[in-house]
Amino acid sequence: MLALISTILAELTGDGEAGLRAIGGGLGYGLAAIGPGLGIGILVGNAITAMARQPESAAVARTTMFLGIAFTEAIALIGFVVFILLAP
Amino acid sequence: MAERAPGAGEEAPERELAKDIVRRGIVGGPVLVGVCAGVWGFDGLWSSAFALGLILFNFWLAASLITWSVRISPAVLMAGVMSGYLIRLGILTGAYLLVRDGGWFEAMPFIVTLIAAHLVLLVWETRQVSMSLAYPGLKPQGVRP
Repeated sequence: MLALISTILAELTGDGEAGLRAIGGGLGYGLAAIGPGLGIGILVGNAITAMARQPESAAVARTTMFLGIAFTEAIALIGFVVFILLAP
Repeated sequence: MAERAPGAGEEAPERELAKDIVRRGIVGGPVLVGVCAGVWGFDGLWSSAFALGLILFNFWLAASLITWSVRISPAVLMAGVMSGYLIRLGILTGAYLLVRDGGWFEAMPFIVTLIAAHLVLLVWETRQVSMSLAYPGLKPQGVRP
């Protein structure tokens, strides 16, 4: 399959390796964005549960949620870096 | 369970965090930009400063989206955070694609600043938050009259 894609890209771009690098970068970025997406969903879901159960501590839940989202996003940033490094 | 809007003089917690992060980024960021300038020259300086600006904008946008959506409803908060995540990744990618062919752009200082600034600012802020949660009496209150 990869060989076929590589051949098609080589025909289109005249450079098979650049095509494969583009595919690798895009796949890496996409795959690296899935994990943080799931993580952020779980995180926000639990933060909402916490806010609903204890509205008086909503500020603490929101603070922790914001920091958690930012930490989780670091993984997506690493995927972005892979995309930059592999992009032709 | 819509969150009540913060009262007068009271700021949304995530907005306060983002402000704090931006302030630390403006104070500490030039060190990182200077290191990149020392290693990669003027191209490194511009690329690093651009990455630092993107990271600070990213934090500010994330906080603003949460502050806006949490006032409406939990469902909007979920949608806001999820779409905000995609929008912010899109902005990062778009910004990179826009400048990558520019003569001044250097990939390595951009990458180094992107990751280092994000993590260092976050760890710095988390330490501050952990300390103020553990010892509320030590929380900085600003200048007292």
